[in-house]
Amino acid sequence: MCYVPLWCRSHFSFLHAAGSPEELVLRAAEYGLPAIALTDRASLSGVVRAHTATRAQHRAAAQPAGGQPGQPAIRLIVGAEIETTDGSSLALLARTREGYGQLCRLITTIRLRASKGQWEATAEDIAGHAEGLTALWTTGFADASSHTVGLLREAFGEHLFAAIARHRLPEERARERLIRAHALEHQITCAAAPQVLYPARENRPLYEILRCIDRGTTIHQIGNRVPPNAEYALRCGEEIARLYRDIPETLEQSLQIARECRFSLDDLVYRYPTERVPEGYTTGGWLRRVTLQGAQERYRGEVPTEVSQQLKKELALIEELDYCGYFLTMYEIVNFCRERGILCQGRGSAANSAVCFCLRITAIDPVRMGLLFERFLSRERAEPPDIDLDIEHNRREEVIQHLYQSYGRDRAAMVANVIRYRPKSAIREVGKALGLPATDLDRIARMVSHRSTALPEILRDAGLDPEAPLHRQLIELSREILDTPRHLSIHPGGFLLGSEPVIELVPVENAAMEARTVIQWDKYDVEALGLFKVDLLGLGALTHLTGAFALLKQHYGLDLSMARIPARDDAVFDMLCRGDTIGVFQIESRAQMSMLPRLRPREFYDLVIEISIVRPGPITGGMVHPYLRRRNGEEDVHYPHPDLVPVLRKTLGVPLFQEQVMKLAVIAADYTPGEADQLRRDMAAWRRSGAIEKHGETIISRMTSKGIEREFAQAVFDQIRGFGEYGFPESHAASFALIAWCTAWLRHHYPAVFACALLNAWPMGFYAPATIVEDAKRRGVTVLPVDTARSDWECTLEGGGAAIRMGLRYVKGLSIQAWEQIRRARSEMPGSLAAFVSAARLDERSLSALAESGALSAFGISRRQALWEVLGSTRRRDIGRGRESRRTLPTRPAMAGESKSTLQQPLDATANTVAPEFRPLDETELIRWNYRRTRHSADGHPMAPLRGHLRNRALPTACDVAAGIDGSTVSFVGLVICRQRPSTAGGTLFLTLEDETGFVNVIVWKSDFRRHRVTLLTQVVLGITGTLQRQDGVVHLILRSCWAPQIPGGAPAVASHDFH
Amino acid sequence: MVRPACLDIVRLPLQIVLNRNPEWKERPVAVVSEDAPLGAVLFTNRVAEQAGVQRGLRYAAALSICPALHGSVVGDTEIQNAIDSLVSLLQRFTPHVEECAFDPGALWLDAHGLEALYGSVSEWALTVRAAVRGQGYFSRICVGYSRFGSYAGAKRAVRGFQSSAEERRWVRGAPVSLLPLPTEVEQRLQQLGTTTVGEFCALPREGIRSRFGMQTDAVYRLATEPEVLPVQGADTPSALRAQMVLDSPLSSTTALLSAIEGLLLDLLSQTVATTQHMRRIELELDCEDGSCLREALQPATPSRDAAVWLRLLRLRFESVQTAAPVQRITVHVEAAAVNQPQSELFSTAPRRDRAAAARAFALLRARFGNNVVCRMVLQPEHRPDRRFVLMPLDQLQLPARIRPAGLHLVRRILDQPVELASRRGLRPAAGPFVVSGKWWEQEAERHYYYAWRGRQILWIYHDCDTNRWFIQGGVE
Repeated sequence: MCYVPLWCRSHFSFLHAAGSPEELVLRAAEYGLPAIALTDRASLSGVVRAHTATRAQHRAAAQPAGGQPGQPAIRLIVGAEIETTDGSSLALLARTREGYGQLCRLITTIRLRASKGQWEATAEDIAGHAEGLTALWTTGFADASSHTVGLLREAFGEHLFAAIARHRLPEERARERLIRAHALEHQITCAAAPQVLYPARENRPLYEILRCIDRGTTIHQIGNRVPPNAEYALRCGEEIARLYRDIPETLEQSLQIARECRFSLDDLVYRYPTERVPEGYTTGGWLRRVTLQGAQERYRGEVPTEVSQQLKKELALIEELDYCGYFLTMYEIVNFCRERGILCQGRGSAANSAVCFCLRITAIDPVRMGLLFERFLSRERAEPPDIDLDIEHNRREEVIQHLYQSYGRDRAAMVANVIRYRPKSAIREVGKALGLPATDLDRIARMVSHRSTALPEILRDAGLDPEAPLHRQLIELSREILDTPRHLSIHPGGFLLGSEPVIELVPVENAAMEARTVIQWDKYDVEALGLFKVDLLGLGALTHLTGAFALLKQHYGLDLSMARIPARDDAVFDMLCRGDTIGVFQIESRAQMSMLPRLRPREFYDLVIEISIVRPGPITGGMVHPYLRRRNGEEDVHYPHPDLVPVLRKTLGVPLFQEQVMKLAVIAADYTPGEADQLRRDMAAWRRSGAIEKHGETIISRMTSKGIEREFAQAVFDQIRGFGEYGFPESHAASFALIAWCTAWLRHHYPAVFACALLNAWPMGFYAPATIVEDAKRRGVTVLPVDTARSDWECTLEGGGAAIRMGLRYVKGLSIQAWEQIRRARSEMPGSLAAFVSAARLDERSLSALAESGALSAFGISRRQALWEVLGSTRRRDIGRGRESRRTLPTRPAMAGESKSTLQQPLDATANTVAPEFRPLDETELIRWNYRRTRHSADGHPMAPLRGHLRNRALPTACDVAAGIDGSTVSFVGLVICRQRPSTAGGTLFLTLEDETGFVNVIVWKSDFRRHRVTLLTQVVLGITGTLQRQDGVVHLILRSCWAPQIPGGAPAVASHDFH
Repeated sequence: MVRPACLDIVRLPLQIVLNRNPEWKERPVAVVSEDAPLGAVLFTNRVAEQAGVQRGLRYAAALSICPALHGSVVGDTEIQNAIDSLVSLLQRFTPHVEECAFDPGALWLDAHGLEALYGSVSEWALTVRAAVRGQGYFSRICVGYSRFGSYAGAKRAVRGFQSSAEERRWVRGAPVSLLPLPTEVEQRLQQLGTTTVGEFCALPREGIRSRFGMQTDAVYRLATEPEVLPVQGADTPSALRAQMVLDSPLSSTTALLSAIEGLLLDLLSQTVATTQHMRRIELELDCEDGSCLREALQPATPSRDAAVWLRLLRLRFESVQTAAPVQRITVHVEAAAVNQPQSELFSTAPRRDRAAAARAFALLRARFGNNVVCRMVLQPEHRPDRRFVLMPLDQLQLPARIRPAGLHLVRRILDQPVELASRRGLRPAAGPFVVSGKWWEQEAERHYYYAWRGRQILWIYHDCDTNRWFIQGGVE
């Protein structure tokens, strides 16, 4: 006797079950069960994974080991469990495609009427979506009213069943008697359906921990809110047969239900929405037309022959695979952006396509760059193209709303992002559920990185005994919970578009953000089913560029765009070779700055390499130094195998790009297209731990068998693993290199425009506003402070475009609503602070922020005076409204049209005393106030007032250090602006210190870091003594000792960019 | 005439922690607002400061800077207890001891006239400080001419001033940070460049109040007030106490009872003059051999009815034996004000007399001990033997009315499971029902069954770990 488990939850029931859909399918297949139903709680989030797992089982069954026919493969029954507001619960199983559509609609309906993550369902809702569904009444049947039973009986007819669930609980017998009597009364058939909450008995602890997390309690307190035993695991046929031996007909009924549920996700017929094309055109014809038209524009009427041939080839394949609509959608979005002046650019593998280039989806000419179209689209892979579009980050919402309007909310929905447990969250939440002290957990979690595996050592470092029973459980369960879904979130920009309503395809639910809905599948599910996804991603660098182009037009009359920026400019390359790149997209980090003088880029492709080389992939694969040596002629270029020459020629025999490592796998490790595709997916799914590891032995053994040195094979695999963390394909790097070049060009030629636009696009990039401001000042730009009379919300240019006026957005504590009030008040030309306060009607917090930032200086009073005046102003305004006062406030000189009485309006209506005198701020205080309130100082660098003090102690400036002698001992004091400990650096800490003249890069080896940990991590202004190292024009200070300098008045409140 | 002195128990909460954990003295220690990552560091010792831990840091941040940091929370009650004991101590040196309302570590004392006893006020101050040190607290004391002057002096470790003019001069130059101001006000004053008390006092009072609120205004008044307010004495404790030292130690219970009854009646007569009733008494019987027997008695409700107390006393002494003859008897009484609820005058007597039950329970407690009256409290547990616990009964609750529907069997659970030597003669009735136990405590899985033994139904289980069978109870 066999059975089919019809009531199974996976971890996609979000904290209500343990174990993945794949594990459930695998376990059921091991037990030889013919089918398994996945019925997560009002969710179909796990069905694609379960479906993929059954497909794998089918493939295995079709190719049995040893040529012997295996067991028939397991089938998936798609379903969901719906709990109603009256306490009932029904497992709904899709018999047909229509039933599946009804299930999607039902889940969408009940989810959209509730807040994120919740649903509200009634028996009427379920009855209204019964067509094509089988219902298994799992909970509450015995207590249900006749009305409800009648309603569902009528809706589902003979497809309504009462579940008999046995888990060896004493109270089950009485309940079962009631169920059977009730079923007999209403002529409802009973079916065996034990509930499955986890794949195996050993998963019970994890299940209970998840329940504790959900309930916000500990394992010691949860008591009988979890089942008493481990009988909720998936059980084999024999065990279930024993358990139900007195009612074998209910087991037979489960098999019968399974036989009737024939729906498979393979039955989903997905059609991409047809784009509106002009009359007389097919979508293919229209795509051809606009592509060729675009080519004429791109190549100014002279389309090269190879481009024409490439377009012909690409268009033929796109038409053959019926992807024309998708390209036209992207074309339409890009046109929308262009019409609205929104800067956008395709990234990723789309840059390999000449069609995308001609449609202006991407900005890189793939023919000129020699990029491979097959990386983007191929007949063999037969998977939909994936075009990611970068959009100015502050205008992305406009494009999203446009897409909703174009397709309607029923045909366009955002793809989900499954938030899963990572080492830090695992430690915190498992530990909390185990009842460990929060401070211990916090201490451990701070030591854990996202790739941490050595938990026992971390516990030991945190002063805890990893062998203690509770800590052993913490370690085991924290490992087990990894990758378990926590909740659904929204993918940064993925849209699923459908010709039919999306809610017939997948349920849609509310997201946390207002007016946002999200489908229950993530991008991997969408890819697995071969559906089309449009990615609209926000990119700050494009906002930066748009802002810069607008400023150039406004102040210099220049109408520039990315395409019009000169492609060659030696002066810009000289700047890059110096590593002078603060604010330049992608190449501004400390590591990139150090690499630039070594790589010495002199052409665009060098930038493509520069962007790709400072990545975990090439670094962990040990590819950086060989490439640099070969580039500088210090080492011969050689190839590990003659077959690999075409693959590695561009990068001097060293693999640097994602495509190259994939091709290596195909050519050198004889990967089949299918295996290579899986490798690409595993590399893409870089957050899913361990997915890459399974390729290791295969790649290395196959490469060595072809005569490639094991060392090289190991390095290639290390790099693949590195790419698993983060790596760039060549086309992607090329797209980013273009933005990098544009920003570098602007930085060199228009530093004020560059810095102003960058400050307006902030937060973005690597550096704090203070660093951007100081860099601009060093480049000769005048930076003017915030001023309520002159500043806008954004930073603006003054003095013919040579000076930056800081915007009020930089006043911490001031909201954009407050700015609107200031703008309105400013139009009334208030002559005094009192008049301004009265007109602007700001709260005390905003007024204090303005006073502290110096933005009220236009009224001719000191910051302290202004602060005294505005403190308590709201209270006084309310109390003293209408009262007269003899007191007068300082005013600015009267302007034309203003009367003296206007300027002498009282502010402190309740105080009859003369305002006290306050000591003016000295230089140090002034800078400190600036930093605290505006994150920068237009009045000077925090180190500048200390210079005399430091010079007396013979301490050099950063500029002096840069000119120092290799090997000399140098002491330096500076402001810490960046601390980094990259995982690829073996515990080394990289510090960047700044003073008014520039930067000093410090390297702290692991042993020194341990010795000086507290000083290095806590000091804002740090003193360093070290050995100066000069190599390839790059200067570092290797720390020998450090100290906390005595700063008169204390260190300024400056936030550094730590460990990003 | 007042000669105010201020005693500042430096970082009192930290000292309480260090007194509680003397082994931490050489280690980094912080007092935190709560033992959680987001708790704030309130006080630190020197070792913690040297390790980089500063006040105001989050506890988690402090731990990341100094992993060996010992953090501890000090509750208000603990602080108040420490202050109470210090007040009692200080009352030996001056009748006027007043707690500082805005700084829990500071106490004002009146030193007026004490130079005659101690030679000088400086000598008196040193004696006070030494006595406080003897209690385990480090302190600073300053004898001044004004309350604020002595407070400020103590905070800055100034022992005293030669004249009130000198005190005024010194106070004006003292840093504003020693003022007991809210942190945000202190920060604002620093922003305004107001760094000394003199500068603070120079600000207009109206402006202070309208900007910084009433609390700051109160401090401002204290700092600028010309007259010196007298130091108030502490309240007399309301608890009563009586003691009898016996010339010839007593070993007979009857004699002892008689002596205690005498003391008790004296105390009862003292409460008659007030609205208070005796809520609880504690007896201390000091024996000849140095041992001390302590007993506590509590009636159902606070009472000054001598008969009630004497009855409880006699019941308790029926089961009490002293180790040796008693040479001193002390009776402590905890009194409470009792108002007779007016509504009770009109209420009819309930069918169940809860007051009578409470009286009966009081007698049982007096006879057998305070924890003898218990009630069953259900627990959310799976194992049958853990589904209830016995908890001391404070107040009798009327039972909820239960209407059993249909036929119900009753399970009786044994106090301890009894091992089943043999399963011979047992016929299974139902089972197994599986209870897996607490996996995090390595508990064994149990398989429960109901089984017939003749006409009796047994409730048995199999312990899977030990492979043994036990009787959990029976079914009726």
